[in-house]
Amino acid sequence: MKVLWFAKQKIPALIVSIGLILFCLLIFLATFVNLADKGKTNWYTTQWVIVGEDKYPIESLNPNVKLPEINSLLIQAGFIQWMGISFLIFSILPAFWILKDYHMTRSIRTIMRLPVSPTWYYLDKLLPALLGIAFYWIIQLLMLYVMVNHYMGLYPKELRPSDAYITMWKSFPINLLYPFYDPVRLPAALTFTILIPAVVILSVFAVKSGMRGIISGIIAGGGILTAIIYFLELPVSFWLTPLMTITVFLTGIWHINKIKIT
Amino acid sequence: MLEIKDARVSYGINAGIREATVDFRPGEIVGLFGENGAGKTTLMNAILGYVPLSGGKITLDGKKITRKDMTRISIASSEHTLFPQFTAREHRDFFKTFFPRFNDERYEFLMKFFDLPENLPYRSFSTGHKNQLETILALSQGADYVLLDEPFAGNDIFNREDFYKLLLGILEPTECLIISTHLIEEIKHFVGRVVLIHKTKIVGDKTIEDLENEGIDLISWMRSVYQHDEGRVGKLLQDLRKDKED
Repeated sequence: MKVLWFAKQKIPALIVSIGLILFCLLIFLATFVNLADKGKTNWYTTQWVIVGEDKYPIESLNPNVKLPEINSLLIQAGFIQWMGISFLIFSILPAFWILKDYHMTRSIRTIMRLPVSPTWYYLDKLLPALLGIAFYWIIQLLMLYVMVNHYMGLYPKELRPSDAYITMWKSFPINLLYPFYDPVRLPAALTFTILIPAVVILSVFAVKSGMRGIISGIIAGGGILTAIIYFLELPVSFWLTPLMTITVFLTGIWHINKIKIT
Repeated sequence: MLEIKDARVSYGINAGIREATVDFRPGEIVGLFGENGAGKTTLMNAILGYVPLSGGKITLDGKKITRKDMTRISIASSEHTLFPQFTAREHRDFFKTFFPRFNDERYEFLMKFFDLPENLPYRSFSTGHKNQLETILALSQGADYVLLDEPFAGNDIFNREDFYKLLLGILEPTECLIISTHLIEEIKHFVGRVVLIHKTKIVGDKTIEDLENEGIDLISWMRSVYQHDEGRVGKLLQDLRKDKED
């Protein structure tokens, strides 16, 4: 019941953001289909066979004709840009909610005197953002399946690449979010999605706490550095990203409980 | 008992409160008076834990104030700290969810007294109505210690006078009311004790009974504590005239 009071205040902004993300992903899908269709070429070469006085066309497959690689089509369709926009939206949202509570409405004064742990406040801002990112992650995954099927459908049966999925999961930037081919990276990929909004929330807390927020500020900075390292696919990111995400998450809880935010 | 001992609050290099020592007991109605920037609001913020103490301590019945104690302390400020999208009724339901001792009867009574709209969002309220709703909720929360920080801002004189009478009629004998206001003349017959803050320091603490026994009226006592120079305005005007003549 208590949770519902907070949750229902987030619903309008969350619905608008999810609608926006859906719209972005539909553009991504449409762009991919358009690019893939444009790359479609004449798979067959026609040779004329003369039998007596008649000429007969014989079509044979041209094994050298290929569509562009699927990952390059995904990059061209804006995978990285849409990923950036989605993470930006769901990271700005908690920051906006916090700043609204403090500045636009001052309702933080009512929230902060409720007889509940301040950890509630932190989770109240982080969880809706994670929910939004999870929505983006799942919908985009479904769209990737649609895209690969469309891509494979453009090939004639004989030339259809059997490794299109593997190529996609293995290649950058798809492997940043969907490292299915390399499950060792899965914890890093999952925690990366939590890291970004958690870093934004911690940064807002740090800035709003002034000098008292120095430690949180340093840890938030470390979180940003970790996200960059993960994006650059440095091997250290496999263990650093989960570790840093846990650190940022716990620091956020510690900050809201122990450090005054004014 | 709500006890404040050597409490200090700093805003950077500026002091918000200096070595404040004061206690508030159940059943008291205390007027917290002081000039603008004296530290009245800071003291209330410190009680609620909104601002960190740089020294001293604040305790409730001898123990450090925790989150759970927030059911026992309420506040109405003129800062409009409620939720803009909620109606009065939604605020009531919200408070009832979080404060199990919420006094429904008192809420309904006060809503009727102030004649506030139940189903309009808080953001559409006038300044006076916003302050009134905050006051209603603070008084209905079921708290033992009710802090009212300039609760009468935006209210007309008749409304205020009726409200003082009404408060005396509805308060339980164990409830402690701490009112910070500049309307000293108006509430001097309503409070039982006065705490004076001057330039971030508590400079006076007397019950009205003590003042009566000493034969001093509240305003005269305040003037003496503040070392208020009654001829100040005259001197300033004289200086101004001199400057003009020169």
